[in-house]
Amino acid sequence: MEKLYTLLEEIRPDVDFRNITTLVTDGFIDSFDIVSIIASIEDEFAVEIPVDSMVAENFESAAAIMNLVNGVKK
Amino acid sequence: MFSFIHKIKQWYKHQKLIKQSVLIPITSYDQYAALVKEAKDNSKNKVFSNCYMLPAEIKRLIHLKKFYKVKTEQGLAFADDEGDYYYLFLYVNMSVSFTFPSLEKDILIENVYYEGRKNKKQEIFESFLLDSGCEFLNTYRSIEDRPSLSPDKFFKKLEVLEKTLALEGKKIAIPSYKQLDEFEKVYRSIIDKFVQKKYTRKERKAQADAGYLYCITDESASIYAIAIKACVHGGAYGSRSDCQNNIYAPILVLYLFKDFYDNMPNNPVKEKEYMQSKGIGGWIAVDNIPSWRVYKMVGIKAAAKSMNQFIIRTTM
Repeated sequence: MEKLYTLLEEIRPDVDFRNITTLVTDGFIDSFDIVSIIASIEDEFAVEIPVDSMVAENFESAAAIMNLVNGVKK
Repeated sequence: MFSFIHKIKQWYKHQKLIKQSVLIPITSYDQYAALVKEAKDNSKNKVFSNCYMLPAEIKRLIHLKKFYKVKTEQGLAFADDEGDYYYLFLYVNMSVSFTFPSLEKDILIENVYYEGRKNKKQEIFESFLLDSGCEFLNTYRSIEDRPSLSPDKFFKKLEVLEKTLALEGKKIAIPSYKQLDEFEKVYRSIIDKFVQKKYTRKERKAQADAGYLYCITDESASIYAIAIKACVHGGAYGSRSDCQNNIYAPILVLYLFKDFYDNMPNNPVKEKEYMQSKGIGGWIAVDNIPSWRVYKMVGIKAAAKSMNQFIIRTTM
């Protein structure tokens, strides 16, 4: 999880990924951030995120993003 | 007359490109997702993409029959038909040369990056575009959506401006359905065609119902200026061509934030949190000084993202 936090904080140092659970709903991140997060995750975790996973609920919190990564690892 | 003939020529070439399978209409999201997966699976190197659209936006384009796969020698290209031009996004292997197809309209390509933190791939992508025959068009900077004026200052400014407007017999209103054609006419006359989107009448009605549209109008229901909230593709504002030098547009920009200040919590700690909350901002060309001045008036600053636009001009 710490690896994910580091990655997210590198992308958006101004966002509190450790506490916010409404990242998309409340506008903390937008579609460009989501695309940037996906690109970094694919590099760092050696996974491929399908385009249809780019939905708000998968990016609302760091925990949701981690679930997405674990889901595609299987 | 020239414009009419040009439109017919464009339409004819568009049909020809579809017949030749240079433009292949995308008819479902599953078709789009499968093509992207195939492109990623078939590429030896990791593909780079400048697609920043979420599934909902892609589905909207498919529903409007404005979305095409474009025939290319390598990688994958999709075109969103924006009426006057195609907005193209790519899934490409940047180590292999690329030739843009010849289409009947200009082709716009964007590269978004965090200001001051453009990464290596994004830099390579811009060189890749220039090497492939694109021309640099403009740079845009994102803006915050939260004004930094204190509530007192905001309401004082708004009150003065609304009184000035009332003295002229005008007021701020949500456009009625009957006014939407005139609203659209003003919108189309002020938009930056490579940034702002065109919406259908049905979509505009829904936007008016949701309270996203405002205008300055009078008793005869004429529209003098319009504004659209940032949640609609970054928003927009502007005045009719004969009202460019007055206060109408700045008043509307201020008014767009009325809901934000109306909902301000009456508690100093919560007020501070509320002021620091986030929302959807828009984009302004870095050289659009009048617009930067208007946003400065309400205390809106530049945000973290920038975007470079590149273009392939049609030879038609």
